Formats: sequence, structure tokens, C-alpha cells
Amino acid sequence: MSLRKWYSDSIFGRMCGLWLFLLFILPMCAQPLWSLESVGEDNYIIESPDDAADLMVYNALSPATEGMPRDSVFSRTYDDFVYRSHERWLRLIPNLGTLQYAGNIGFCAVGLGWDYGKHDRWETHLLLGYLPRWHSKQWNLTFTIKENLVPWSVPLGRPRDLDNPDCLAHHSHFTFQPAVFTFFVNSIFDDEFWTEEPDRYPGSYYRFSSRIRLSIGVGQRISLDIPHEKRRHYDRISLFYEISACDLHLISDIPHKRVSTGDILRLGIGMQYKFF
Amino acid sequence: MRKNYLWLLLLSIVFPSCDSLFEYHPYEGRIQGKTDILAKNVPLIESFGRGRHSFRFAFISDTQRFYDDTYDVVNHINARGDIDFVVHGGDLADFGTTAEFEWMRDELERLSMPYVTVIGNHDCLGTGEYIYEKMFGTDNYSFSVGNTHFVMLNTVALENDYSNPVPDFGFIKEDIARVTQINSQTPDSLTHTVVVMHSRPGDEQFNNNVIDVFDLFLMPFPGLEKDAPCRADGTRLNGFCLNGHNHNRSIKDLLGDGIMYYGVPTVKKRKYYVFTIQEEGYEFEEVVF
Repeated sequence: MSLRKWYSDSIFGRMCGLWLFLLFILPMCAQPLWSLESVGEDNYIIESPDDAADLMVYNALSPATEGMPRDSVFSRTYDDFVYRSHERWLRLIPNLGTLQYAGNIGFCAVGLGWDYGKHDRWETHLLLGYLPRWHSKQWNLTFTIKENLVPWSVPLGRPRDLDNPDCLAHHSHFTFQPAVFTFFVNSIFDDEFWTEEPDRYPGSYYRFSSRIRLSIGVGQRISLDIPHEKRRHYDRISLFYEISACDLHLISDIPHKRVSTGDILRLGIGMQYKFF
Repeated sequence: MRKNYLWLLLLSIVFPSCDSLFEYHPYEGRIQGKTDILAKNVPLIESFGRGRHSFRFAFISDTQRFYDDTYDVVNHINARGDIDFVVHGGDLADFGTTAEFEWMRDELERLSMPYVTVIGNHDCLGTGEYIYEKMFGTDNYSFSVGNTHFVMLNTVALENDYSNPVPDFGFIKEDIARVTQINSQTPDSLTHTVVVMHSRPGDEQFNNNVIDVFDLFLMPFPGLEKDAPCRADGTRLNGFCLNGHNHNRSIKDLLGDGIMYYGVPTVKKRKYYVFTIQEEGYEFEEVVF
């Protein structure tokens, strides 16, 4: 059995691929290696030796450096390395949670995600969706990898402190994201669907995958930044909607007048929590 | 505050009041609109045909994703005014998504006469076969119009494994028994047979291991028997087969035993067939629209 076939046929294969993807790609996206220099002085704090014992150890370890500035004594390279690798691994902890209704990924979906990039404009979500049975054979689970781009965020409401209108801290706690662009890949856990055509079909017979659906969409979001003193579990709660269209319906719509754009658009609404 | 109003305005523009907007997945099993169409249309056709020996029907096929051409063919058939019902040769959807079935059903529902369908291979993709079954009906069925018997068969074997026999000889056998019983009660009440299928013997979708068996199982139907009346070229006068699938015009005595197969091109090629069944024989017309 070829690796590709194993990957497409086995649920373990699919999950393995997913985790490998997450483990290696996401930290890279979050903090590109070539921009590590930016992890700078501001964040980097070495506590000064605050008692005599520490100072003794310090002097004993490096007698030749007595009287020299401290930060030239410690191995800056190693500490940077530890700091950066901690920083990078910590980014693997998801900081977003999502609940979504409809929107081409199931009746309802729950997910975890990460935000990263400049101003946390990029988000990656992993969602597990539930698709009821209705007239088909069985209920299904769907799995979605969703990539969001939130280019703008507009504070809502009037500044409260009229003397200091530019200070964001005095704005209302609501912000509005006027456009959220989204792209997602959905797959359905059902043996009737295939990633690659089963062997029984001659040549490239259908030339599409019934399991993997690519969709694009756009939506809007309104967010409430919870004041720091009132936070219990969430840093920010957002309500969003998005309108998306999947690949199969897009190619049905584009060349045909009888299928209107309204026929292929699907609405999803949901809630997003930012934990930290 | 102006921004708040802008937001509401945007919302009201983007949210049209539309049922399909809340479809949960392309392959969701929830059908909006009319279902069980065959159960409604077949009795209509049967009651129309009661006591009739002559009627005319159109045969179209492979309308998948050709919505504009299907729109045109429906208009063309409606405008003729002489078609009694329409037979669709399968492949209503291209990818088997629920919305595709709904769009195609809505095009076909514009026909001013009843229509019947058989299942095509594209209709079986994903959850398609369950959607087809709910929206249209069972994949093997038969009905009679006047003295003509219509046998509608699922022949897309490549989409099914052995747990779902395709073609279903058990069904054909029962149907032959039904026809024999009707004819034994009232002799010559069924004298013609039209067999409708999506893929025909020799196609990659057909179970080609059983071509000869399939042929033998069609022989007992009235008009297809070995000793049934034939034309001068040796083809059956009162029985024939219809198929789609290949998207090409192909009309021939496929197995060399006098049973004609009329393969209709896809509607994309702007053609459909019209058959006029008469007491003795039938007439075939190829229409370009």
C-alpha cells in the first residue's frame, strides 16, 4: 500500500499527517526563524543576583570577569536559545476556541485555534463538525482546517476620555472587524467518500475528490475585549458570521446563468473565544 | 455611532432570505423542497395512458451541471406541446451534492408534463444515492402506459459492490412474472416494452460479465421476445432500450439480436429523442434544439 493511499484511506494516517503539519508548520509560521533577532532586549530580563550567596556562586564560576557588566558574563547565546525555544513551543498551545453553526462544515462545529503574525492578523482553526443523518445513510463527523485573515479592526463607540482621545485604553471595549477573509479545507469521515478515486475506476474517471472540499469565504466579526480585572476565562469574546462557497458549487455557478451566486452561498454564524 | 449603522446596513445586504443559505454541508442529507417525485409522477403517467395505444414521450439524459441547456430543453419540450411525458436517462447531478439535485429538480419541475428518471453513476457519488432515493425514488421500478411496459433499471454497477446487485436480476424476474400475470389475465394488454438504463452493456459502468444474462433476461418482455414482430432490418418492432451515459449519439442493434439501443447525447450537445409509440411499432425522431 503506497504512503499516499495509506494517508488517504486510514483515519490514523490522516490524523498523523495533520499533527505533523501542525508540529512543524505552525511554529514556523508563528515565528519565522529569520526574524528571531526581534525577540529583543525588552522581553529579556535577567534578574540580578539579589543576595550574597548568589553573588558568591557567580564570582566563583567566573573569577576572571569580576567587575564586568553582568550580561556579558552569562552565556547570552544559550539563554537566548532557551528563551526562544520555550517561546516557540509555547505558541503550540491553542489560544482560540470556536463554536460555529452551519457554514459548509456541518450542522455545528467546535474547534481550537491559534492566532499569530503581525497584530495577530492570521488565525488557524481546527474544527470538528457534526453532520446529522437526515436522508443519507448515517450521521457524520467532518474535520476542517480553517485559515482566517483579519486585516482590520475598528474600535467601536466614542472615546470615553475626551482629553485623551487617541488612547485606545479609553475606548469602548467593543471592536469591529469589517472583513474576515477565510479559506478552509473540509474533509468528511465516511468510507463512501474518497480522497483519491478507488482502484475500481479506470484512469482518471471523476477527476475530483468527494472527501476534500475547499471553500473560500468572507465575513465580519464584532469583539468584546474583556477588561483585565473582569476576566475569568476569556480575554476576548467575538461573534462572527461568514459567507462561504465550496469548490464544487463555485464551478457549478460560474458558467451557468441558471444557478445564481445566491444559490451557492452558505452562511455560518458563531462565537470565538480568545483565552490568552 | 455611524459605524454601528454601517454594520447593520452591511448585514441586511449580505443576508438574503434564502433557504439554501443555511445548508450545513455540500453532502448533507437534508433535501429542501419536493421529494418522492417518482411516486407522484408514475401514477400520473399510468392514469394518462389508461386505454391509450398511442402516445409520445421525450428522452433526455446526462443533464449534470448543464443547467442552462436543461433550461432550454425544458422550454423546447414544453413549447412543442405534443409530448406526453419525459424520460430522463440519469446523471442529474455531477458530484452528487444535495444542492445539485435540488437545482436539477427545479429545472425539470418546470416541465409541463410528468417525468421519470433512472439513476446515473454521477448520482451515486458521496451521499448522492440516498438523496436520489429520497428525492426521486427507488432505482429499479416499472410502470405501464397503455399497452407499453417501461422497465427502469439501475445499471451503474461500478458504483456498487455485490451487496447491491446491479443489474438486479431478482427485480427483472419479478417484473417478468408481473407482466406475464397481467397478460394471462387480459391477453395482449401489454405488447410493447421500453427498457431504460443509464449505462448500457459494454460500458465501463456496466457489469460486463453478465451482458448475455442481461440480454436473456430482457427477452421474455413483450415485444422483445425471440419470435416478436420485427422490421425488415431484423430489429424488434415493439421493443427497444434507451440509455445515456456516453454523452454521444449511438443508435444500434448493440448485441446483434434485434434489440435496438438508443443512446442519447448529453443535453450539452443540444439534442434529445422523441419516441411515438403506436399500436404497431414505434417512430423515432431526433430533435436538435
